[in-house]
Parts: sequence; C-alpha cells; structure tokens
Amino acid sequence: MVVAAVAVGAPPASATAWTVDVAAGGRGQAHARAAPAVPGGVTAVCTATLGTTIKVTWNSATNATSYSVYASTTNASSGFSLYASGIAGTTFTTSPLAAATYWFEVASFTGANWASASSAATASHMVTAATCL
Amino acid sequence: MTVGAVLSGVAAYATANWVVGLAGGSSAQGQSAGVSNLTITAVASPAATNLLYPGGTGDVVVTISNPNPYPVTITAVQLPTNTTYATGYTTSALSVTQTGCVAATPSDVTWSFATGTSGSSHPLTSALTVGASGAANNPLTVTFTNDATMASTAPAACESTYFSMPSLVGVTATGGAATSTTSPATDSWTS
Repeated sequence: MVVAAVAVGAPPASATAWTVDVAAGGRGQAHARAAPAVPGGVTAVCTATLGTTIKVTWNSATNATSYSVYASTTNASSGFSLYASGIAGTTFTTSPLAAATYWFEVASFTGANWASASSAATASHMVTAATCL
Repeated sequence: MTVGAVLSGVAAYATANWVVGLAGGSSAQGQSAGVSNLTITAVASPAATNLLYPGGTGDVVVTISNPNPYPVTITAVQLPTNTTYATGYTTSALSVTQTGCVAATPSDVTWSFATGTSGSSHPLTSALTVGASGAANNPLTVTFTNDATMASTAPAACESTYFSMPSLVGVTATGGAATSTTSPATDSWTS
C-alpha cells in the first residue's frame, strides 16, 4: 500500500492520476441546422424535339444533400407524385415519357427525412408518341 | 490496489492510478476525500459553429467546473454507448422537449466515436486544465468540435433543434500544478 498526503489547497503530486466521475447530468449542448432550402431556378426542357425525354435543372439549395423530382400530368398545382429521388446533382433527365403534358417540381433533402417544401412548378411540356414540345 | 488515506486537515491521494467505481453519477466509490467530482454543464454560449444535420457532425459546448483547490487536467472522456441518444429541445434553454425528437424516438444524435460499450475512453486532442476552485478559467467553457453525430435517418422533427447530449460516463483527469486553459477553449476527440 502506498499512502501519501498533501495539505489542503495544495495540488496532489504530479504523478497522481485518477479517473473521476462527473456529477450527474454532466453533458453538453449541440444544435441542429434548419431544413434544407427550397430549390430555386427550376426549369424543364425537352432534350430534343424528336424525342420523349425532358431534362429538369435547378439551383443548388442551402443544406441540401440530395434532391427529389416530382411530376404531374394534371396541372401546375396538383397531381404531383415522386418521379425520382436521391439525386446528388442539380440536373435530372427523365426516361422516355408516355404521351401527356408534364409539369415538374423539385424538393431538396438533408439525409432521409429532412425535406424542403417543393419548388414552384415548371412550365408544361407536351409529349406525344415521338415528340416533345 | 493502492489506496489513498484521509488525514486530519489534509487531503490524501494515491501515487498510482485510481479506477473509481461509478454510482449512477453520484459520488464515486473508493474516491479519495481530496478529490471531488467535476461538474459538466450544457451551455449555449458560445454558439456552436458546426451545426448537426443528418449524416453529419456538430459541435458540443460545455462548461466544466472544478471544485478542487488545485487545477485539474482532463486528458480523456468516457462515453456512453452509441445507442444512448440525445434529447432535443425547442430552445437553447433546454427546458421544453421537442416532440418527435427525444432520446426514445430516437433523435439519432450520439457522441461521436461512441462504441457499443459504455465507458469507452477517447483521448482529447489537447489536454484541458481547469483552474482551481475560485481561480481564473474555472469554470472552463469548451467547444468540442464535431463531437456530436447525427445519423442520416434523424427524424424531421429534429430540424433546428437544440440537444442535451447524453451524460458522460466519466473523464480521465490528473490533479497538479498546471497552467489553466484559457476560457473559452476549443478541443475535440477524433477517435
């Protein structure tokens, strides 16, 4: 057994080491970001007149780590459903589309569950069996 | 085992490492009368520079108070498990919990580098010395850079939320003459 003593107010010897407890509730504070911003500058263009695919582009949104594209064949304000998700960049080209008139919206994501509101809808594009206008 | 002894009017200590049993955050078993627990408190100032987001890390801000009559130098922290989650609050006052973003949800916010074992030890990049009781730099405010982690699956309810991190299991500290760290300080553990 090794025992040593030191006067109150003086530090223990430099060789002394111990693992001390921290009082109950010893913790810290962290803070989380806000949801990602709504993507701006969303546009859609036909990739070719004689084709049936559409390229959607948008501006990078603050805090976004991925984007989702929504499409509607109803009108510019309703009928949107998820078309593609997990897009890392700021452009997306659809697969060949069935004949219809299309509008697109984009939302930004941080992780799996943090989402912005959807962007404004793009102008419409009419796709026929072989053309995009 | 080496044991410290208490003498009248003096504080006793051991010359070998103390491994102190923990009793639910209360006074540790086998602890020398000359060694008092440090108190670690969550604070909002200075504001964290790096904010948490799903799949990312963020800063943790604390104050450390040393009730001992000599400086204490902290060299490592012991963390709870990586499934011990922080609780979210609506403001930095940490008084009203954030619905849908509490430890039981879970919030998916944990200490960085925590493992599946409670009490895993993580060395600080730089030792922190808290001044003696009543001295300058006591309490010591420290920002631990990117030492909170948020999983990519964190619920949307955790957006813009303030977190009270899980209680530390312990810290490794050495008492003795040392120059206190200037408050506020920045430090971290990186493994």
